[in-house]
Amino acid sequence: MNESSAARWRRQATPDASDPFVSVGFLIAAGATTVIGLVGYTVMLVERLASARARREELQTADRDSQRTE
Amino acid sequence: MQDSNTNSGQGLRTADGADPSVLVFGRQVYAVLAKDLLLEVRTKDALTAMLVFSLLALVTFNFALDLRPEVMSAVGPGVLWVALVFGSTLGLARTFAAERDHGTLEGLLMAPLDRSALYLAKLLANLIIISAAATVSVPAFAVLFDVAVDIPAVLGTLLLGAVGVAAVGTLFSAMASHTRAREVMLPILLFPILVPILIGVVQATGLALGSPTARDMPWLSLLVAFDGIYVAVGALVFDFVLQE
Amino acid sequence: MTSSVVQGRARLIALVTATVVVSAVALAMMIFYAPTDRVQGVVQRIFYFHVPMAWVAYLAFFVVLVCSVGYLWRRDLRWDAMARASAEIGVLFTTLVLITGSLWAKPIWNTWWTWDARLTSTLVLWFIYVAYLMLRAYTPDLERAARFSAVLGIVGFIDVPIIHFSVEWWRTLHPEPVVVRPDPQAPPEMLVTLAVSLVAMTLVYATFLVLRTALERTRDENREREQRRALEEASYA
Repeated sequence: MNESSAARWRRQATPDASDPFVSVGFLIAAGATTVIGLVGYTVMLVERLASARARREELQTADRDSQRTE
Repeated sequence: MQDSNTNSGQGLRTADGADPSVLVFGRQVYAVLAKDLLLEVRTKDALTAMLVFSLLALVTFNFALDLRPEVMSAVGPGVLWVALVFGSTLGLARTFAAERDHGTLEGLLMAPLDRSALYLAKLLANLIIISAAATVSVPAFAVLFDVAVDIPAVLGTLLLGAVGVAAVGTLFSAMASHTRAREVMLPILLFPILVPILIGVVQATGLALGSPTARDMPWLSLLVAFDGIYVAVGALVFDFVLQE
Repeated sequence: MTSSVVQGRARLIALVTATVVVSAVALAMMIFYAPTDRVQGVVQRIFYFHVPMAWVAYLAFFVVLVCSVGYLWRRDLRWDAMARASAEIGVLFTTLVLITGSLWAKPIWNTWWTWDARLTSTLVLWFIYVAYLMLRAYTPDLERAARFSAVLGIVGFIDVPIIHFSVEWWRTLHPEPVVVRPDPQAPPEMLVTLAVSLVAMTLVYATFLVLRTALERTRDENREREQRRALEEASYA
């Protein structure tokens, strides 16, 4: 299976792969997608965590206030 | 199998004193199975839905794929199986949805009934209904597309696949019946998990029909193995789905 | 109480610092240190993040399995929060794996996609865990959602090898992992770079998991508080 699949993907390969500009282009596209995905997720996480924590503060304060009025 | 019920917390336990527990288990399976089949014989809801849908899918495929006799040995197994599985999700979805709608699920859960017995009974009921639908749709397939089909062989292969479909489908239909979009949820849960069964059945049917693209593998034994895994895992985790 | 919070914060800062440093080192190594592949050219460098992300995706789904078993065993929502978190991160990484894999396959295989064993089973895996997230979203009751998704987390992971082998028997066209193939051996610089990238990506996963789990825990806590307040207000009225 090693041989045949290896042979097959080499046979299918186009001159594209040997062209350094095309090669770099695909590498940059993949790298950019990864960075955008990971950094975007981090930003989203931090934002959501901040808003969830703010909400917790809010609820805690409200709880304390209602206890004081009692 | 009965061990999977040990931490269910609620539900009465069967008295193991008089009978060997295997017999009790068998009787429980039989009771629920007989109830479901009697209901199906009286209403014919699931069977009608499956049959009409499967036949309609075959006709639709005919137009969509332009199914001429010369392509049928290659494409036919897939067409047949997809029509059958899409049809059977209609029946599978009703397994627990109907019990919920009629308010009878609580009764089943409170009954002194082993959860694995309930799972097995529901699985068998689904399997029997799917088999009944297949018994009609396979000859219909042979006639409609003029394919020389070894009907017992193809039917046997489909039934091996149907065991896996019923095993996973019964488990997921219990979960899907509690979700908001339950008609949508069942196929979305079911189809990715069933990919191995799909491959096995289509390849095995392809070999039976003399398809040029089918890989020569012991697909039937593999199907039996897959079925075994799905039924065993389903029986083990089913208890967790029904704990209310 | 406060000291444990401070300790937790210190540990988080250490984790984030380690993640950033090791990721920077891995990035530098994959650009400047690793040699260029003679056959595949520059685009081969995609491997230094494609392969680690695939590893992390599988790791994430394995963590879902462990947490699912933990939840069903202990019935503690903390297990479930981690399962939820890991499933979402796993889907994110699987998505990136599929995209970067496509971008590598186009110049090398001259096709964006091919139905070989590893690609197909990764795609099916993606569908299973998207279904997992949908099941959670569509099940209104939290305890029930936790139970159902734990069952799916177990069934789904058990299915992974079955899917993999059945697709492999069906057909395959993926380069065998270069690391274990005896010949031609990948140069040590490549292997070292890959190893560092693996560590970096695992650290990224760990950071995500800690943050995402904390988010789920905070939300659970808020939901509990809101429900209690609503109950109290209803009893006053």
